Amino acid sequence: MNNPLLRAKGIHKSYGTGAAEVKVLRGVALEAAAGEFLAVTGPSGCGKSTLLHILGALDLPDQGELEFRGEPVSSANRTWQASYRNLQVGFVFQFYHLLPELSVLENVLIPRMVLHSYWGWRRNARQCRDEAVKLLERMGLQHRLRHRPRELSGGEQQRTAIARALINKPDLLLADEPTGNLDEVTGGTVLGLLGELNRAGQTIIMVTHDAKVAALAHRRVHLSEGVVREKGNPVAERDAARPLMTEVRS
Amino acid sequence: MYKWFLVSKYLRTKLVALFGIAAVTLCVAMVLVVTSVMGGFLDTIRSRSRGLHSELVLESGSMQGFPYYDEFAKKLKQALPDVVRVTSPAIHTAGIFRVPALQYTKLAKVLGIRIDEYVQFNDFKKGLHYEHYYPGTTTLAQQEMLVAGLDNKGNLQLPREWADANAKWRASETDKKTIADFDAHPPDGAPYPDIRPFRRTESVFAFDPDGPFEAGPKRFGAIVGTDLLFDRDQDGKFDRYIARGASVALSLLPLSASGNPLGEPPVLLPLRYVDDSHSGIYEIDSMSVYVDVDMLQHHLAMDPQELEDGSMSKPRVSQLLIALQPGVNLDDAKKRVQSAWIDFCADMADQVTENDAKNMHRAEVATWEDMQRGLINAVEKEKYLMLIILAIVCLVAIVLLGLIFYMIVEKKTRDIGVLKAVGARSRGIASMFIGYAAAVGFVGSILGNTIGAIFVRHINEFQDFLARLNPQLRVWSPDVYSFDRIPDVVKTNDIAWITTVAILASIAGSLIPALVAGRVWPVRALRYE
Ligand SMILES: Nc1ncnc2c1ncn2[C@@H]1O[C@H](COP(=O)(O)OP(=O)(O)OP(=O)(O)O)[C@@H](O)[C@H]1O
Ligand SMILES: [Mg+2]
Repeated sequence: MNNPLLRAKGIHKSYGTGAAEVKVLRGVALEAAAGEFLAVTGPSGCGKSTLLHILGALDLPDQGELEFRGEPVSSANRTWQASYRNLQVGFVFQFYHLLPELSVLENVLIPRMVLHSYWGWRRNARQCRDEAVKLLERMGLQHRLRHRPRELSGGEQQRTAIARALINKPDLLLADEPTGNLDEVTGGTVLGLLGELNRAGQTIIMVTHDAKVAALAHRRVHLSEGVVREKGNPVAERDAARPLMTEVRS
Repeated sequence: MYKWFLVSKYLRTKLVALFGIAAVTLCVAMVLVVTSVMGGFLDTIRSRSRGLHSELVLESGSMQGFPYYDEFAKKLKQALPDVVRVTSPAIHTAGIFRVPALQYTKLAKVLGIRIDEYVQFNDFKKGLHYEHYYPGTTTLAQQEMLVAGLDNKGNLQLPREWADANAKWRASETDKKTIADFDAHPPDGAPYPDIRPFRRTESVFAFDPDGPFEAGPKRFGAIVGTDLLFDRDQDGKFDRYIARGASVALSLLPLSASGNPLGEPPVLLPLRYVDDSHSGIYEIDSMSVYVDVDMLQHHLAMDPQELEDGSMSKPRVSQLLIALQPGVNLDDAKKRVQSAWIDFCADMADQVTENDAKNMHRAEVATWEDMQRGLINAVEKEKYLMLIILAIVCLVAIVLLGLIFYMIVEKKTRDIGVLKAVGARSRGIASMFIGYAAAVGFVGSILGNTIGAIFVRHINEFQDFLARLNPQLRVWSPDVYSFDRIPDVVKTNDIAWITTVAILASIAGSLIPALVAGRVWPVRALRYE
């Protein structure tokens, strides 16, 4: 890859100190090209979430450098990192993490509100709202705009979270076990959506411990013992997963 | 933008915001009530203290008084016409007050005054009882007892002088209810002048509109401190059980110019109770008897006396009251009058007797604040005490708010993580919680001020209500505070500073949690459970 969207080099991360120190990442190198659908797999507790958080600048690596479009992320100042989180990446969490007091629509709009000043928001509120509604329609949530997160099913909550991650049109979507808490059918719907987004040009890095889910991606990397290894992803496996994805369209 | 949005959202949906608002509301209401009542109390004491005195007093340092007061007054008027408006002599002495009919005696502070002049110096006139309802009828001059009668229908008829004066009051009184109250009862339960049979031959209680309206021998009038003569009943009203014009008496001890008791037995001075004075300060109202200064001077042998060498002594008084021109600075005026007095003493040095020189040397100028120093100091101390208490209350409120906001931030940690994960900056998060705190402080102070103000405005009704349930619950006893009513005025000033402090306190309370909240890494906040 000549010009990857995202490039991580020698990422180290450990938790705790002294005897209690856990070295989770020990020199992870990773690249993602624009338009790619990358899956990171690995056993539970191997540090997949830790890696994804570092990629999304939600956390700092102890060592190593992360570049986005050739620009350093981890060593950038906090303001730059905040704007990186706001505009360049969208993050989908395993546990959705929606704000409970806000409606579905408001939750999706939050990154936009963060982007705009008070007056900027007053000028653009209508347009932003229209975009959010359109996005939610695409997620099949047009009937749930005014609902609170707790009134939604897990799948609906995760789709809301995806809409929130996408509202500022980020170049990169990071998804941490997006189906981890969903049953197979709802999980399939969510995965279908991700596939569809990817076909429309969205770069996605998805973390999962489920090989079947990972099979949907273009490329798979495996994280274990603190480093990633490339894994092939035969076309046959992808085709086998097709039926899972078709459910979205119906 | 999200800050505004979330603050308004949190305010509306978070129960914990209600706790914050309730805490601010209670603190604000409490502080407003305390400030209003205590402040009102202090203001009243101060203004009443002022109302007791003239602005400046040339005060004798000793009971026998000082001479040449008239000469000095004349000199003051010539030398400092832009400072001194009017002067009046007064005498202070101790006496034993007696109501012969009841054989009731009490220690009294006797004040000799020229009442026509005295009322120009202070609020003395406002505190007079009969003078209020029968303006112009209170005098310290020699007088007989006024009497009223019943006409043939049994209606009370007042002497013409009284009836006219009362009509004047009726014409000037704007409050209809006060007049109705007056007509329903004699004011504050005061009896009318003695009701007496005039024409014994016709009927027992017959009234002759042509008089006579007086009875008994002529005597000098005395105005008696209300609490010296009367007690309050349960409602806090004075029970005026003796009639206007009744006989009272003072026993006095005359002193020579050197301060020796004169070789006679104490002077017994029969007087008539013509009015009572209620300044509102119990220490004054339970001690003072006001009589005519010239009469008192005579009976205390402070008027000119023949000396052994055949010459006459100079009259003495114990105070020269001095009222100032409007707008004159009190302390300035004090200095100028004091130096005028020192010059005057120096000029007179070679003409005066040794005793007089000593007495003049002892006299000093004091302001009304100096005269009331004890009470005012106590009041100021109380004010500081109140400020300290209020500061503690505010501190408690700040700590409480700090805890509440810590709780709020704690509960919102995950949300903070989400907000940071979608690009919110540390400063934005911190300012959001500070704005939240300010909003809580603002809403809380509006509610608190409203509740506090309503409470203060109705505090007397509230107390009456409590007292009706159980008389023991009457916290503000007029006996104790010599005020009939609890101060119930709310000052906009107080509301302004309390609101400011409440909002600042809320912000201060939220500052640390807000800054901490702003600084966390999104992941820390998200992993927080
Ligand atoms: N804040 C922390 N303090 C200490 N240890 C931590 C912390 N966060 C994560 N760890 C440890 O780091 C390791 C990796 O955690 P991580 O959540 O990245 O794993 P994961 O691969 O996402 O697991 P899962 O598949 O179960 O989500 C785990 O052993 C975990 O216990
Ligand atoms: Mg994980």
